[in-house]
Amino acid sequence: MIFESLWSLFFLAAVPIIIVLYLLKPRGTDYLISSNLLWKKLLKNEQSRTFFEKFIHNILMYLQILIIVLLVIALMSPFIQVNGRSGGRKILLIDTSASMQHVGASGKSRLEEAVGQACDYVRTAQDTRFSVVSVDATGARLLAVDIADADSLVRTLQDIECSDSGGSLLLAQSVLDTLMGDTAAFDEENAADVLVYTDGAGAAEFGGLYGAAKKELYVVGDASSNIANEYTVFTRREDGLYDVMVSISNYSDAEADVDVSLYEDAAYDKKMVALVSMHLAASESRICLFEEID
Amino acid sequence: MLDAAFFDRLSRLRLSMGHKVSMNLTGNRKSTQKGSSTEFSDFREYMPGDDIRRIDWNAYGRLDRLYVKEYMEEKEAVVSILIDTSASMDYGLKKKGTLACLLAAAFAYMGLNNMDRVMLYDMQQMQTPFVASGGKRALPRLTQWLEQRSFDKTVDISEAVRQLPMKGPGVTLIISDFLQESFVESSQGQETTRRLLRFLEYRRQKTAFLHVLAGEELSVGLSQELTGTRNLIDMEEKSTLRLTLDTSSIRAYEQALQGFLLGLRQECARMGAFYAVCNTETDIYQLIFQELRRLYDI
Repeated sequence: MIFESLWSLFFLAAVPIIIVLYLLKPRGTDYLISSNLLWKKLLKNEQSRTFFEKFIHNILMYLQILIIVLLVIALMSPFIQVNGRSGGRKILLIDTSASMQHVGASGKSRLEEAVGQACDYVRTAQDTRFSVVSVDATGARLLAVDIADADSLVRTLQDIECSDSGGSLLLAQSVLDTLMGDTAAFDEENAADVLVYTDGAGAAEFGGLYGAAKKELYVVGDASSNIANEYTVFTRREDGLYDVMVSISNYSDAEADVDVSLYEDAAYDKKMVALVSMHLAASESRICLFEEID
Repeated sequence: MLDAAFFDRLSRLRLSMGHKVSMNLTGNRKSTQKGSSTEFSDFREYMPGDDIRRIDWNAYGRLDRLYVKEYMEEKEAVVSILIDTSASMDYGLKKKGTLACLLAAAFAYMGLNNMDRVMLYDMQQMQTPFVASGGKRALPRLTQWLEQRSFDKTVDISEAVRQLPMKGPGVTLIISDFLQESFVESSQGQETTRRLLRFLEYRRQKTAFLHVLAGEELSVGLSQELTGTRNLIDMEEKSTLRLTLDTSSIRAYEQALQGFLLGLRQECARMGAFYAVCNTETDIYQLIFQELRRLYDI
């Protein structure tokens, strides 16, 4: 267990204070009795107890001390370091494709969740050098190389923005090769582990990444909700009506149901003119055709 | 509190006595002496100087010898009632002193009703007892004397008993809470009680210890006031004892109290004396007519 701060240990000074407070006798209120001869026996018993015996049955004091100790531990922000997180080199590969913009039930986008997880990882790791790579349709971008400073890494991660295009993790393979080093002459000490933060679409490509070191996959968001509108095209017919063709792809690894709706121009009443329900198998792409649309 | 019906029931009772009286005035108790009562005792041969009215002429006719009839002389018994008037008797929601006076009045009435001589002693003024004689007529004066008792200072029970005047066989009732170091101390207490009872036995007294205790003393556990840190102030010595009280200390007190009561009870049983705890919370009717019934022989 690792403690983030030790200043709260100062509050442990309250423990001996509590013990002393229990040693002190309160003032007490007066109570008239016929005779204290019978009560004197109690006083003898009380006085005959040793210093430690006085505390044996004092459960309240133990509870108070326990509460203080627990509070101090809580203030020290303890965390448990998972094996393998310390030392060495790590490459954080962040998927910044458009699907990472999807906002889940938590109210955060997938990218925000991925960045949050990566930041937590950076903060809890010790003596570790991190490289940060983002990847989208335009290719991979190297954002940081072998940096150990957690604060600057967190800032770098938080500055990552999502693109509006698709993308493939495999586009980052060459960058990863460079960062991981020579796979032929594998050097265990300097080999970099790859941590991939992606959604359902990217997860399918995780297996395609290769390297000598370990790979870890962190999937954010629900894989089944990764449905993409690939393109939408239309043609004007001779009778003045339109034919509209929409390509829908399921990038997730699960079946998905989707409703494709066609609306009039937003400048008018946003009136829905056509609706098609589709059932897509995993990784399936289908064309949806709307004919004779006014 | 003590109404006519109460005294009416009391008049049917009589304090029992272990010994036959011999040297007191004429009363209602059997004595060892021969006298002029109606109860026949024995025959004996006539001796010059005997009252010729007592000669049994029928026996003379049959036996040709003079015999006189002897009758049992009935004497009065002396009932000594000692009341502890120490400050501790002024304790309780229902004062222990009040119950002590009620008990004294009841037993005094019982004695007066049976032609006994009743002596009431304030343990702080043993030299000036109240002597009640003349039957029930003495009751108003007796009540007045009891009302004048004040409960303060301390009392030495053993010393008070030793100051009892020698009046022949009788009944001695000690009405007290016995909250005195010489009685409470477990080892010393039994020895003190034993010596006291031996002294009274020597004086041919049928002894009864009426141990008056307040309800608050007998069931301390029920009192919510006695928890936490308390400065226990002794009513007699005015000394203060600071204790932090919880359930275990209340339990320890109750054990000490039970030990104290048991010690007195055992010692009284061993010496043939009567012992009873009189709780101030108990109804006086129940106390007199049920719990103390072994004190009466009628």
